[in-house]
Amino acid sequence: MSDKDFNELYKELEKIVEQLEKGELSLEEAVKTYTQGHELIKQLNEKLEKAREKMVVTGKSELKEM
Amino acid sequence: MEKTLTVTELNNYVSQLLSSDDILESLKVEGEISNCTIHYSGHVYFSIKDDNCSIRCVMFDRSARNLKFKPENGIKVYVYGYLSFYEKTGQTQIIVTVMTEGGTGDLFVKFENLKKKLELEGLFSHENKKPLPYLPERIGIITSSTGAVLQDIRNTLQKRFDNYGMILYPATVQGTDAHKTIIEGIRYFNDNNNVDVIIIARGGGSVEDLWPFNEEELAYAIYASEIPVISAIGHETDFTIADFTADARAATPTAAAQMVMPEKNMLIKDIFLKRDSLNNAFSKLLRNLDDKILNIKQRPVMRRPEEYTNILGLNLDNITNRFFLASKAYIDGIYSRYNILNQKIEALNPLNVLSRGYSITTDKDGKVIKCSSMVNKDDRIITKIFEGTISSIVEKAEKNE
Repeated sequence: MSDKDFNELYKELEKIVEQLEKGELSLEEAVKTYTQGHELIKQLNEKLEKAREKMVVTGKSELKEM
Repeated sequence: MEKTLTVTELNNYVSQLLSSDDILESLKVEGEISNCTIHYSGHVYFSIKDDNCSIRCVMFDRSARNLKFKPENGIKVYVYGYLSFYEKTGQTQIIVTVMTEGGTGDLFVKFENLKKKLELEGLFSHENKKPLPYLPERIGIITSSTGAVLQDIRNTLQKRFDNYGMILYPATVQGTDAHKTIIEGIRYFNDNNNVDVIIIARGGGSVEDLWPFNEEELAYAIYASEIPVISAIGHETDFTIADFTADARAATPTAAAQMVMPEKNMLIKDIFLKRDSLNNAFSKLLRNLDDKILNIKQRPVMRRPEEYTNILGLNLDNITNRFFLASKAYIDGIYSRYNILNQKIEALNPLNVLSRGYSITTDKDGKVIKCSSMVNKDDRIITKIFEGTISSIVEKAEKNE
């Protein structure tokens, strides 16, 4: 998985979407950009899922202490 | 001519004249005792003289009792008193009230000279004085092992801090070589480094008694000491060179003990007070921290931490949708452009014309026949129609009219 953090990856994805939305890419470029975007979405989801697990566990232990 | 006087009248007059003179009223005269007799009544009759002159003196019993030395011929002295004229014999004499040995004056000059010299050398300067330890583990005391001074110091230390530590360096504190044993004491403590502070102590005494403490050699030894030195010599009014050189001067040996050792009771009291205020301050700090943590715990993000990831998740879903929509739109765009082109191309396709019943005729070489003059009778021609080809033989070729 990438060393970049969630925000950085998210910004890259935003950029890719904007490029696709403009529709000015050549087909080859578009395919390349699409593949990158797809990979980014996968990574972002994984990161988010991990964070989600941790945040929930932390929250539960906190509740026990209280 | 002049009036004739009786002897009585003359002596009366001289007596009046002398007793009205301020200088003669309060004298300090320096000289050497001679012709000294001590009368059975206790009065002392003598003369004092210098190289050229002499004058009669009398010291009455009451004053003579306070003498610190026995008056003898040849002793150099200072006499204090007033001039009196004894009318009966016509003699002047000094009525002496106080008499001190003349050597004292020499010592005083010596003291002042040494003080000036050492002051110039910086032995008395405040920057060079070492601070006293706050609570010495062991105190080095240089004094006579017998006598009240040591006992006074011990009593005072005992009262203030019962488990005090002390090392005594027994010294001679009187006599011409007394300063040498004191110097040895200072060196002993510095060589062994077994005390935190040194007290040099001696009880009160005459200027001569205290003289060892004015020795130059002792001043240097005190100055060189790595361990702070307190001098406690004589009474409040006595100042010695040692007092000026020491890191601190105590008026009396007892004062030195008080200076160097805090009171245990006070220390304990102070520790308890500080402990209490520490406890108070600490629990206050803990309460504050508790409040802060509680405050933070109650913020939404801490109460429902998943909320934060939820929002991120929504954002991500949102942009993912946008991504796929944009991608699809891109592909759709390419398709629609392709379709338009395709239709245009289809419209230009000649085969489409054939489907409507038209045909193309070529000669046997595939050359399209556009004019009847291009063929002759019996030539083979090939006609291409929508579905298939027809091979024919020309029967007749004529031009349109």
